[in-house]
Amino acid sequence: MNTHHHAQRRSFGFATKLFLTFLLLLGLSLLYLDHHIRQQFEGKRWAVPAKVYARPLELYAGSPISLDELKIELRSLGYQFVQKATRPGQVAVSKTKAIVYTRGFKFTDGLESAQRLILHFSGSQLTKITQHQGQSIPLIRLEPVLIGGIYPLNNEDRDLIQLDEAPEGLTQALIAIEDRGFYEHHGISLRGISRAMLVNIKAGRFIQGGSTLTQQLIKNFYLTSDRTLARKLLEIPMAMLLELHYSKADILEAYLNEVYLGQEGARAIHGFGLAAQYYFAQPLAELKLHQLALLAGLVKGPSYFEPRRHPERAKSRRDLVLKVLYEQEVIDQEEYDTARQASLGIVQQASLSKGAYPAYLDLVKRQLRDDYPDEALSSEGLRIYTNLNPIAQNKAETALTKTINSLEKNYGQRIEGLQGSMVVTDPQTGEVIAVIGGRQTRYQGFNRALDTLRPIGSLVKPAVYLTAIEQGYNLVSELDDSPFELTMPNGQVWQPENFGHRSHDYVQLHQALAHSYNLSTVRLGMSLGLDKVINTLKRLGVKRPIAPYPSLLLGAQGLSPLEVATMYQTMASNGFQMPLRAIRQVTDSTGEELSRYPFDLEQTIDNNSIHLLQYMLQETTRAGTARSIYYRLPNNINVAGKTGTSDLQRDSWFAGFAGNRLAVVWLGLDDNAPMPITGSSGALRAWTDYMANETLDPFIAPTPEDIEYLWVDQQTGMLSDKRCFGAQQLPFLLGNSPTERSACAIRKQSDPLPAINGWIKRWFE
Amino acid sequence: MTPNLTSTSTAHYWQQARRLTATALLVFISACASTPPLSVPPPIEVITPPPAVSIPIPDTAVISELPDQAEINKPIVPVSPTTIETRHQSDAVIALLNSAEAAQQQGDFKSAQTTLQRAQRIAPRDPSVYYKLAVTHQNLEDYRLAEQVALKGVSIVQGQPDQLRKFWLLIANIRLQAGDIIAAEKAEHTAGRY
Repeated sequence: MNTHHHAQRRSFGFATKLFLTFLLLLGLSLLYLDHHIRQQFEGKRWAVPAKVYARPLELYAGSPISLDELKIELRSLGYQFVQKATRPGQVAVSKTKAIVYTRGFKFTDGLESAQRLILHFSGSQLTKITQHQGQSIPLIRLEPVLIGGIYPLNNEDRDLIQLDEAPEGLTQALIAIEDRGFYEHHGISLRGISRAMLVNIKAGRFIQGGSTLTQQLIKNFYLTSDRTLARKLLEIPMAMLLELHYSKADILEAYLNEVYLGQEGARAIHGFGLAAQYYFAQPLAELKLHQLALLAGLVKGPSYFEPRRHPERAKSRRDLVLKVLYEQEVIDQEEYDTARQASLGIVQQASLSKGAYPAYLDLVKRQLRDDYPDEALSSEGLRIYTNLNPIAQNKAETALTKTINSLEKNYGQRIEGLQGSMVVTDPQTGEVIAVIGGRQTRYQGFNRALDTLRPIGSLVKPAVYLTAIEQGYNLVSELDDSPFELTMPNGQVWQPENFGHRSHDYVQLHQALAHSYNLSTVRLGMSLGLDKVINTLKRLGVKRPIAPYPSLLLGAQGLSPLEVATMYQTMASNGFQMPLRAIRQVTDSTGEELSRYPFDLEQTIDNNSIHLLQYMLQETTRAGTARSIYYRLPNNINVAGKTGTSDLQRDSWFAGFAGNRLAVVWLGLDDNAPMPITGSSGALRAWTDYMANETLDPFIAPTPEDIEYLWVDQQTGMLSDKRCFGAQQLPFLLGNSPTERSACAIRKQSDPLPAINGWIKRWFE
Repeated sequence: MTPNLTSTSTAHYWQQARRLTATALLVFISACASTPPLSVPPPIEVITPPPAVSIPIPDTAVISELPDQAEINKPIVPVSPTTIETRHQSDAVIALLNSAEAAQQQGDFKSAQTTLQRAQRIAPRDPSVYYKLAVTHQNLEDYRLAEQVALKGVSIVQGQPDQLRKFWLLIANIRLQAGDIIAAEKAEHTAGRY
C-alpha cells in the first residue's frame, strides 16, 4: 500500500514534471517564435534592388525635341495615349500639340507636381508650354524613365509600396478572392481550414491550405514552401502571434509587397508595385478595376495563370474575381460589366526600357562600385539617377547598326561579323549620354565600349600636334614628309608609310594633321620626344600607362572607346579635362541624397594651344580626311574631329564633336582581322549618320585674345592677302606668325581696299 | 568627293556668313544710334567677326567689288568669332538661375548646385551659370573646383572685358579665401587689365 502510494505519487510527480517541462518547452518555443517573428517583421524585410533611372527629360520653350521624340519618351514611361488626358499618366496628341497629364516626381532638389500641360511643337522644337488656363510655364521635368536594377543573388525584384498607395479595388479584390474573413479572424480561419481538410480528404493528399492572408504571409516570409503538415502546424501559432502584435493594415501592407506574382527569366517579380509595371507598364495607382482584379487573381498561381502565356486562363481567373466582387456587392452592375468587357491589357514586352541599355548600365555599375559595396547596391533600394538620354541612345543605335549592316552588304564576307561600339557625351558637361557595347545593343555580353583595347591609329595625332604647338611650332611650320627608316634598339627596322604610299617633301603642320600624313607625324613626334607626347596624352585625360615606342606616334597604343571619348572631351571643352560621368546622384530609398557626382573639370591645356588644335580638327572635317561629313551635315554646323585607322586596317575609328554632342565610334572584327575599310569609310559613316539625326549646335569657341587670324598662302605658308589667289585664313599665336610676305601680298599692301572709304565709313562719322 | 557639291555648299555657307554679319552689323548700328537696345527682341547669340582679320568691315560691301577673289578664297574653316555674347536668356534659364539664387540665400548650396547644372545643360555658354556655379562651390568650400569653374567662365567670355574683369575678380576672391595670397594678387592684376 505504502509502496503503491509511493509509486503513484512518484508517477504523478513524473507526469507533472513532464507536463511542466512540456509547458516550459512550449512556452520557450513560442517565445522563440515570437521573437523571430517580431525581429523579421520589424527589421529590414526585403532586399530591394537599386533602381537605375535615365535623365529626366527637361521640357522648356526652345528645347530641341520633336513631338515624335516626346512620344518615345512618354511610351517608355508607360503613359496611356488617349483622346482626352484626364488623369496623371495620360497624354492626348494632335499634329503639333501634346496635352500631357504628368505624374509628378519628387526630385531631391524639389517636387515636380502632377499637372496637365499643353506642349506646342514646331518641327524639331518645343515652342511653348502652357497650363490649362493658358499661362505659359518656363520649364518642367518629366519623371525619369526606369532603365534597370541591380539585383541580389536570389534575383528577387520588387517596388515597395505603402498601403495607402494601393488602390482600394486591389485590396478589396484580394480579400474577396483569397481571404473573405481577413478583417474578422485572428490569423487563422477555422472555416477555411475545415473546408480545405474536406478537399484534402477527398483528394487523398495535401493540396489545399485554406490559408488566410496572414498565413500566406507567414509561409512566404518565414517558412520554406514545402507543403508539409509540420510546416502547417507551425504556421498556425505563428499567424496568431503575428496578429497579436500587428495591425491588419501592417499585415496587409507586408503582404502586398511580399507576394510572388511572376517570373521573367531569372528575375522573380514580387509585390504588386512591381507587378503593375511588369504586366501593364504603369504605376499601380493608375490601374483600372479589371487590371487590379487580374493581379489579385494571379496570387493563386502566377505561372498557371501567366497572362502572357495563358491569356485565356488569366481572363477566366480575372472574371471570377470580378464576379466575386459583384456578388459581395463591392462593385455595382455597371462597374462589373465594364470591367468584364475590357481586354487583359497586358503590355507585350515586360518593359520597354528595362534591359534595353546593358552597356550603359554596365558603366553605371562600374562607376558605383568605387563608392558602394555590391550588397548595398542589391539590397538597400538605392535610387541611382544617371545621365543616359534614351532618345540619343536610340539614334546612336540606329546609326551604328545601319552602318554595320550596309558595310556588310557592300563588302560581304571580308567583313562578316563586323562589330562596333560607340560612346556619346555632352562636350560641355562631360556627361555620358549613350553607350553601345556591340551591334546587338540589348545583349548583355562583352562591352566593347569599355573593354576593347584596340590601337587608336591616327586618333593619337592631335596629341602629337598639340605638343608641337606647345613647343613653339605654328600652323604653317614646315614638316618633312619624306620616307625614312627607324632602327629600334633591338635592331628591328621600322618603315612607316603614308596611306596609299604617297609621300611629300614638305607639308605645312596644319595640312599634315588634316590629311593625316604618317611620315611627317612620326618625324615630328620623334623630334619632340616621345615622353613629351605621352605627357600630352596624360593631360588630355588618358590614365593608362603608355609605352614609349615610336609606333605610339601612329596610334599603336590600345585604348577603349570610352578612354578616347575622355581624350577628345578635353579637346572639345577648350583644354579642360573632365571625368566622364554616367551618374548624377545616388539617394537612399526615401530620396535622401547619399552622393552626387557634380560637374568637375581641370584645365590642363592652355586656351591658345587648344584653339590652334581645334582649328586643325575643323580643317580635318572641312577639307581633310573627314570632309565627307558635309555631304550630310549642313554647312553652318561646325564640327571637329579625327579619323583613325590602325595598322593593316584592323580598326576603323572616328572621334569628333559638335557644340552639344561628342561621339566616338569604333568598328572592327572581334578576331582582329584586317578589314577593307578605313576610319573614313567605316566609323565616320556611323558618326555622321548619328549626328545628322541629332539637333546639333555648331561647335564654336571664341578666339582667345592672344590669337590672331591671318591670311597665308596655302603653298608657301607666307603671309598673303585676302585678295590673293590661294590664300587661307589661319590662327596664330601673337608673335608667332610667319614674317615673310608673298609677292601678291606686298602688291596688295600698297593698294588699300576701296570699300573702306565708302559708305560704311560714313556711317560712323 | 564631287566638286559640284562642295561649291554649292560653300555658296550656302557664304550666304549664312553674310546673313550673320549683316545681323551683327544691324545690332551694332542700332546700339550706336542710341535707340533703347531692347526695344526689338535681340537675337540669342551675336557673333561678331574678329578684328584680327585684315578687314573688319562686313564682307558684303567688299565682295560686291571683288567677286573673283572672294570666289577663289573659299573659307576652309569658318573663322572663330572674337566673342560669343549671350544677349538673351530663355525663361527656363532665368527661372533656374532665380531658384538657384534663392537656394543660395537659404544656404542650401547643394540644391543650388543641382539647379545650376540643370541651367548649364540648357545654356552651356551662359557666363552667369558658371559665375554662380563657381560661387556655389566657393560656398561649399571646394576652392579648387570653384576656381576651375570660374576659369571655364573665362574661356567662354573671351572678348568681353566687363565679364573678364568680373570673372578674374572672382578668381582672386576664391584664391584669397583658399589662402593663396600670391595667386590671388595675380588674378587681381589680370582683372585690372580689363
